[in-house]
Amino acid sequence: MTRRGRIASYLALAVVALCLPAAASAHAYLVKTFPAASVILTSPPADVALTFDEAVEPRFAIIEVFDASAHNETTGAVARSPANPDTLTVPLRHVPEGWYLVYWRAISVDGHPVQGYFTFAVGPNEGPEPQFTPPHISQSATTTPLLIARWAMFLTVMTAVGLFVFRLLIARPLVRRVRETELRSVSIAFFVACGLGLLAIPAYLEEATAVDSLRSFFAFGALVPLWRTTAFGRGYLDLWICFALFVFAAGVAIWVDHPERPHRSLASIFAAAGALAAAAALLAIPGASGHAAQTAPRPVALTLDWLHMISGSIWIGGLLGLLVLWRSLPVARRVAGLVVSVPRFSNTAFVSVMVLLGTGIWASVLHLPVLAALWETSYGKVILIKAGLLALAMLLAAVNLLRTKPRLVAARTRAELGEPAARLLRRLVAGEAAILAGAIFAAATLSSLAPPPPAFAEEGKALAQVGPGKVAATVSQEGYRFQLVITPNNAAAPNSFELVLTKGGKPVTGANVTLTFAMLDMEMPNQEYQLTETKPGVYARPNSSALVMVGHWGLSFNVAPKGVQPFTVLIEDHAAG
Amino acid sequence: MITRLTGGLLATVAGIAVVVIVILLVQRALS
Repeated sequence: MTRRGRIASYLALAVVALCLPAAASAHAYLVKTFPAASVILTSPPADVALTFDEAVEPRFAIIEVFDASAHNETTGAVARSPANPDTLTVPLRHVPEGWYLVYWRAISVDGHPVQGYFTFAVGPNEGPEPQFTPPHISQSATTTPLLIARWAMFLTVMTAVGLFVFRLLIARPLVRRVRETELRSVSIAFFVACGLGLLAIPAYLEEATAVDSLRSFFAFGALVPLWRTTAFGRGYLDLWICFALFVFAAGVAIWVDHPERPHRSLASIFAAAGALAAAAALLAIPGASGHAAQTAPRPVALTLDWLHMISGSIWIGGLLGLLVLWRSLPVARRVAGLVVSVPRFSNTAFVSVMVLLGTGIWASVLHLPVLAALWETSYGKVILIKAGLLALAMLLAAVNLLRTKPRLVAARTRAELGEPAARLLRRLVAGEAAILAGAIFAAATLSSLAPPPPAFAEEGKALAQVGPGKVAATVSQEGYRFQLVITPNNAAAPNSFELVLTKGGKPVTGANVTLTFAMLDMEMPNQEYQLTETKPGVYARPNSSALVMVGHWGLSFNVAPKGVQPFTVLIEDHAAG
Repeated sequence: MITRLTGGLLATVAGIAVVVIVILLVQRALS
């Protein structure tokens, strides 16, 4: 691939990834609010308090309370409640009667932003609820600069580890077997990757903190103290420290190594063991501070992520190492040099690719609740793009393995085969490395998105997809006819749910009907309500504020007619803002 | 010779330090 072609492919990949819809991602959720959503108070509250399922950092949180004319009524900063570390509070001025919109945004311990809004009123003469326009701040952890920073971090760290393995274990015999060759350029490439990695990790951490706390990247004074406030930040700070220790150990290992000697010295063995242990261990950190640590069974998910990172690092680092070697070897020694290095790398790469493939497929199975999530969610779509890129890279790798490698081996006896094979190898390896860099971009995007929640599995079983807007739908199941009416079907607003249940044209009376709300776009606790029979065969719940946010909801009607086996009717509803 | 051996040993210590940090991190993630 030419340089221009390579740049074009990077740009194409970036465009593809950026066109993907941003997914909501969350692990912290709101469990209680004061005032409660949609409540009408008799006197103005002194403050607004939000309780989450985990401790969230007040310095990253926003709580704003707006009146009907969008005037902010808060009088101070968001603070942690002294009584409960999971509760955030914000003081309010003495507000008059009327309706108020509470908008909140917080950062989960894993670094993902979450937000939502609800309304409450101060009575008794609160009047009709006005049409609020909630503020909108990007909820996504996938802004373009953040993705690029994440990609740069993964690429440099993985390349550094891979180049080290290539230099120390794969290319080392070259110096003894082919005269007048050295590995200095591979070592230099390794140190360049290390330098870039040492810059890329804090740059990513700074950008992630800037995005989360809605500040500029250059507000170092404000942002650096916040680096350690989330588990996510602490994880990447630990990665930085571990990577620096690895760079030190690997630097020593390269310094004390004499590839021209047949045996390694004691110092060389010690240093190599330390550096390889550090390399292997540090690649477990992204998984431990990412989705793998939250996907059951967690030990399996973490091990898969770790092996995936190791095999990916060996592959990309080895490819770049081969390219550096190709360029740095004297022309007269190039073919001889490649004859030594390529078969050794091919064998390692083959094992790495198999491990990469196996762990990737297994991890996808763990993260996706149903197969359909692969094409219906952003997370699944990025997996498909990543798999497609890896398949393409494997195709080029297969050509190298089945065509270039045997020709290079044959060049030992038939010298004329060597030069064309070396040229083909350079092109294929360059193409493979560029595609792999794209796959790492897809991986960086993937790990920024939240995997689909387990409730997503229910989506395929829905009898009907309804919304946005007022719903009037009729479905049939088990000989029963269900007429469902949802008004106005707006998120974060009171909605009326009504189910008309008939069989053979006659109303079904005396049934026990419960309605369960499951958020399909992100993990949230389900809510369950009992519907009351308002007229014969009509089961309703008026003014319910269960649709707490915009998105897809699974509405499960659990129907137990008198003396009949209960059954469930699932409807997928899209609630708009 | 001694400098190199010291370097090698320091590299081993660095490697062990990374392994220990990561074990603690993974333990925290799993708990």
